[in-house]
Amino acid sequence: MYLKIRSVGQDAGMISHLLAKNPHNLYDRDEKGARVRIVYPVFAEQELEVLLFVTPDPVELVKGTPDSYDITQYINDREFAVSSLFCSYLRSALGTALNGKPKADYAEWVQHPFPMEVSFGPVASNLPDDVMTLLFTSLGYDVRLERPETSYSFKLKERSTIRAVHLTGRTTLQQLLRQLFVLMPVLDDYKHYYIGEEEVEKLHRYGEGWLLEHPQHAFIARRSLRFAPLLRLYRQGLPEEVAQDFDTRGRFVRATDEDADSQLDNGIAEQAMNETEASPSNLLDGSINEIAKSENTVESEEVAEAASEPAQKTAKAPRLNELRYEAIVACVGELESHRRVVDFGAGEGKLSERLASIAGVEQVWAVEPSAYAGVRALDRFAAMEEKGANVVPQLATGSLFYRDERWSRHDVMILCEVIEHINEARLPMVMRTLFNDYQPQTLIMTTPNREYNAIYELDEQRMRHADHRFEWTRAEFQTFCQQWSEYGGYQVTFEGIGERSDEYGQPTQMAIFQRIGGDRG
Amino acid sequence: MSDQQKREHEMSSQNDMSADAKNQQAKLDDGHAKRSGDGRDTYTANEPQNQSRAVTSDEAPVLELPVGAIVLLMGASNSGKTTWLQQQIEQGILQPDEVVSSDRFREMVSGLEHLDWRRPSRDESEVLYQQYHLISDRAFHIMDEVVQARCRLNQMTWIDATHIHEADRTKYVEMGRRLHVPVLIIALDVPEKILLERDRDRKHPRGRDRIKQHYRNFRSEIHRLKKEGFQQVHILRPHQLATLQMVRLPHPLLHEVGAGIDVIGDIHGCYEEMLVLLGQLGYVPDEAGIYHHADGRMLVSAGDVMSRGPRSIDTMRFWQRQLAAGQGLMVDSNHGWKVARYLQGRQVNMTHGDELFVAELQQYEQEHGKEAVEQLKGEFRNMLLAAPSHLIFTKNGVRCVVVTHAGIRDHHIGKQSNRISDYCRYGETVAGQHSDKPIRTDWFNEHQSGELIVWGHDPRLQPTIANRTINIDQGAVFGGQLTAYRYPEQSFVSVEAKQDYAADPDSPLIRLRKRRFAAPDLGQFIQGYSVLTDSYGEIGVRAEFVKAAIDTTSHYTVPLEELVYIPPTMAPPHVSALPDYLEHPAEAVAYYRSRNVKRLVAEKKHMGSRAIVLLFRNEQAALPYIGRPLQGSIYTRTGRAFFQPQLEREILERLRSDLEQAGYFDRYQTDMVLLDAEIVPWNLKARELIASQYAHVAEAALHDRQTILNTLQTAEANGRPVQEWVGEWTELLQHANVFAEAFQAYCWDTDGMEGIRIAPFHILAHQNHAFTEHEHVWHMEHAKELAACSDLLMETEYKVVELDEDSEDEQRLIDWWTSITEEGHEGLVIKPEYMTMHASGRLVQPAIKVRGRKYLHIIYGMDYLHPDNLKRLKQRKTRKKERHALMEFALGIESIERFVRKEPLERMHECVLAALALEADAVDPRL
Repeated sequence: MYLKIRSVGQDAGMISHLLAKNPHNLYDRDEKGARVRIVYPVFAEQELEVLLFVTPDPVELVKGTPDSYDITQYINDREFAVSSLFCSYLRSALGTALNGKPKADYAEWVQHPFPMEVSFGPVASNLPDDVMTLLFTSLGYDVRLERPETSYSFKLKERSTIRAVHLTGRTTLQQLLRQLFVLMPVLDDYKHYYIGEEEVEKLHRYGEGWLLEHPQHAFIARRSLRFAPLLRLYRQGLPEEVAQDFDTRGRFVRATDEDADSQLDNGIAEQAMNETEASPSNLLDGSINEIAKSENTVESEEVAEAASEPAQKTAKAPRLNELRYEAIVACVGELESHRRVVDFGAGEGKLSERLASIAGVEQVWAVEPSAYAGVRALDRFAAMEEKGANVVPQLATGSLFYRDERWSRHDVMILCEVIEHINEARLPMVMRTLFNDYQPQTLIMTTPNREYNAIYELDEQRMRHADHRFEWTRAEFQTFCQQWSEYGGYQVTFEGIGERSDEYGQPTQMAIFQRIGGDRG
Repeated sequence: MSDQQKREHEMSSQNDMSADAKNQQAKLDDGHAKRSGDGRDTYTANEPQNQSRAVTSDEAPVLELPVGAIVLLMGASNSGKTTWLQQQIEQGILQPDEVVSSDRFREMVSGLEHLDWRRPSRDESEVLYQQYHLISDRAFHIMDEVVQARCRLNQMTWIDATHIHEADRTKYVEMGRRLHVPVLIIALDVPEKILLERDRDRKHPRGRDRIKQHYRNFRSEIHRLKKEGFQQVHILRPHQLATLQMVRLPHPLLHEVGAGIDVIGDIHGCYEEMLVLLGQLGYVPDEAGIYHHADGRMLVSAGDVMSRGPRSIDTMRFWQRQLAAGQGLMVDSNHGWKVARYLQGRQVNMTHGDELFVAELQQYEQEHGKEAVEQLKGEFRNMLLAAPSHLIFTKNGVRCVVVTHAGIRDHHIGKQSNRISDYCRYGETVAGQHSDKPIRTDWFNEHQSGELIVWGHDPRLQPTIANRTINIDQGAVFGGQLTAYRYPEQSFVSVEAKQDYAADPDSPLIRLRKRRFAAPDLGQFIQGYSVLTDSYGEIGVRAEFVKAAIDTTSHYTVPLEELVYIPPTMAPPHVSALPDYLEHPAEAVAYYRSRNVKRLVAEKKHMGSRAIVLLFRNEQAALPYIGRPLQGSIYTRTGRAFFQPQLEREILERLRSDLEQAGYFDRYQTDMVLLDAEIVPWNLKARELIASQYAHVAEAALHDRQTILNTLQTAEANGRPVQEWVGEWTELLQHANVFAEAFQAYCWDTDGMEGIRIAPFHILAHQNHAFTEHEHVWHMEHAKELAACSDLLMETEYKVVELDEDSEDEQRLIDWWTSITEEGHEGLVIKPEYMTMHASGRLVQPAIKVRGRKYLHIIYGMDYLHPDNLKRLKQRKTRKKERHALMEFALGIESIERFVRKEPLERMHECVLAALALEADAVDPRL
């Protein structure tokens, strides 16, 4: 990680006094376990180049990090990438310049704008080139981004995932450094697990004189502080008119709950698909990564907005989820017996929550194999409890691939958008367990209608969700359902959910299996 | 006044109060006594005095006290209950905690020792009475909670209260019944005259009327006691109380493990098999025909020794003699109980194989006459009726093993009652269909109290461990096996049945075989469980990791029936003694030497991705193994499909036709091949990881180091004193280049099947054979043979290393390792001679991977060899990794063996799930 500052012109040499570093000596200090070095490769009265570079201790760097059980722990770009770490290592070496407190003789140069050429890198950032550029052009710099050439002996990647930043412009040294100390961490990808309140103060301090006017102020603040409480704290320190403006331009709370959830769903599905063999990251770590990933996704959308690119629309109509819940709830409500309900594959418990509020429902089991989804369901149910809900669903670890006597003979069992996540070859065993062992009075099953994908303009081969193992036409689904219904003596009826097309039917299909003979012996 | 006197003087109880109060109320209302409003006889005048004598014994009484019990003292105010109990405590006969008194609890909740509510004013009396009533109510509530808790813990509790009203006694009878402890009552029959005298001496006399009324109550109630359901009723005069002897009975169910026990599962008249089993266990008959073990071990029967099978009488006589000689123990059982009642002459439906026993008896009678058969029946009856519901074996005073027939709940252990006996005979019989809580009818899923519960009754194909319960009924009478469980060895000895005696077309074993592919029972796993493996013994996995593994099997893996084996993780050697190496073959060799291994096999380690290849000769051949037609399956070490479906189909088809053409299936007479392999290139599975981590970091390092070096060189040219820095950064840049090259060496482009190679290194199984005990040389040579059959397969280079004193093989091994790793090869895997090896009874690491110096750059970072870094990296901890490697290996070969034996899916899956659970338990992944 390096920072190079070059200035050519009248009095460029004065910069060394502002830095308070003798151009003829090497600076070599140990700072928090990292080696911080400064050298002037070029120094004359009218030409100055200074290189600041840091070598962190690679072993110390990763001690006690949350990734310590990642096989790639030591394969870590933190050792190289320009980041908040870089700033903190440089902090004391650049103290004089940042504070604008050189020896009295040179005080007048603090406010003096020099022509500057600045380079720093490598930058590991998920921001697109145009956004990275925009952050600096807004401050009046000319910007050039450099991507190193890559060539691999096999097909690996289109281009390098690291960049170097080159800026040209006229500014004071203090202003330049303050801007870099704010913007370097903004560029960086690092997932911050902990950001303290002192970061709020830092943002105010280094942002003095430029940040409030920056058109991407809100974006910068959000990328720097990340967490709503810190953002609120930061807002308190803003002048009132800026704060109000800030409110309208910057969303403190990211998107809506619903958006975040669906992003997260996609993220998890993506993880399932991308799961590679050499990456045995354990489940919890995976989840943390997913949260980070989803935040990134949300952010990149915001970034896209900031760069005035149209946000991409997903294929699924956003309300379909809701329509499905409504249809299932209506169906359950009309059943003769619906005291005890099992919601299989309950995920985060949204459907279970609605089922629990149906009149006459006395008990809802939300069954879910994923511990991660389960945690979110627990939060949801705890909130219901607080609101004094009469019936609160109970969460249980369970899986359709195992037999569990607890699910025997309930009134209603629901598999909402579950079966399409199961390999077709596994379905017969699952259905035997459901119809022969569990024998619910009523079993409700929903799944996408493949025909309807034409409306979404999905091409033939594509499915609506990366984790779907199949999507069936209405005829296919109905044939399978008829087959299953015979396992245990059920009769089945079908309904559609969502906007109807004459040609393709409705986006979701629902099968309702009812046990023949009603009460069992 | 002493405490004791005080207590005696102030003795009272809620119930006499309320009764008195009501009577008083009645007097206030009507001016004369009458029946109280609740319809209960509060007293009856002129109870004939002599009636009590009928239930009073004049002999010196002996009181036998069970381990857990409720003992009620009954007696009027002033009858001396508290005083007597205090004496027992002082003499150490009772422990202070064993006595609870309503007075003490009243004092505890209110500070009130005594309250006399009798006032001239009715208003005041009423208020005081109600106040007292409330206090008593609370006090009894808490006292009863304490009594219940003690019952649950199977403690003895004496209750000091008057108990002169039926309801006050029957509530304890009911409590005892509910909590499975006997309830005893001791009534103190003290003449009225004495009661009145004592009352006059009290600090707070209860008054003549109340004492008289108590006395009348007492007299009227004692004649009913025998009908109220007490286990023992004692009505004692004062002189009898003084001479009362109390004997604490030993716990009837406890036995010492002693030299060891051998628990035998359901024999069902399989007498010959039983004798073979006894021989294998080391029991030898003495002159009288009683079997003994030289070490003094004890035989234990889990019940159902008779019925269904051919020789019930012989088997029962055997046990009857063993028990009589103190050389055996037996628990009650469903058939045992039914036969016992039949032998008592009760009307019992002798079916379900019991009719065979009846026929044997008739035969016996014909041969030996009526007298002999009656004699026999009497002995059998006594033996069966005496059999306890369960037995508990202790080691150092700790309850370690419980033996029962069909099942037991944790809160039953150590107690006896009819309901417990029923439960132990039949197991859970009623499903909680309409309760709000879902009930698992598999009682063993609920077991949490820690003891090993050994049981039979419900045949399983193999001895089955679930949740610290062990089923040892392997259906000998249905043609299965007769099993013995040995403790403390925790091992099994089994004898195959000579035939299917019961010949039931719907026998439990046949039904189990039909359900072979049924979904595994989640309840057995979800709270954590253990697997008994042949090679390592019991392996336990914790609930949190099981849940993570179930998440994996529910979302990502191939179907459970295809998931026959999870390859174990592999341990690295201890860190190298050499200063500039982290890993080196010398430490691996030293390990195996220390385990007395004479010969090693070193195999070149491919840098690709681990894969399991399950291949069937044709789709139909898969039916007996996985229950449906299938080409085969290729999956990763975490159980995920290795290839996209289309590519997998192509590869399996190519393998199948290549092996068919080469005559492989015919040569080995197998329809199935199971291979443990490495599939290359690395980027086939790991492209994303390589791109986002390895390549990304390489790019960052190269850019960083190149830029800094260039700038330093400018500085040097301009005369800055940076020569040293330039040298340093030149070298750092070189590291980055080595790193960038290192990972590319394992990658190349593939197109469909083109470029993909599969290198098998364990031929895990063929039809009916697991090769988990074979020599590694055999595996390697067989892999060579396979590679000759198909271009998709490739052999693996290996060398045999003899560990004789004078052999130079070790040095040759080190040279080989050095040369291939310097070329950038990943390294070697060093294995002992045989795939499964033990040293001093403990499993030896099945393999140790020794990775090359260069390769480790991609694991520990590009600067790991820097002395400062290496020093710290050498502090790495490998114990957990080594333990996991052993356990996962044992689970792996266990599941293969169960798969080849075509055991139920659930049995195979318990190994697979446990291995996945161990993988979920984080271990430093760089090891």
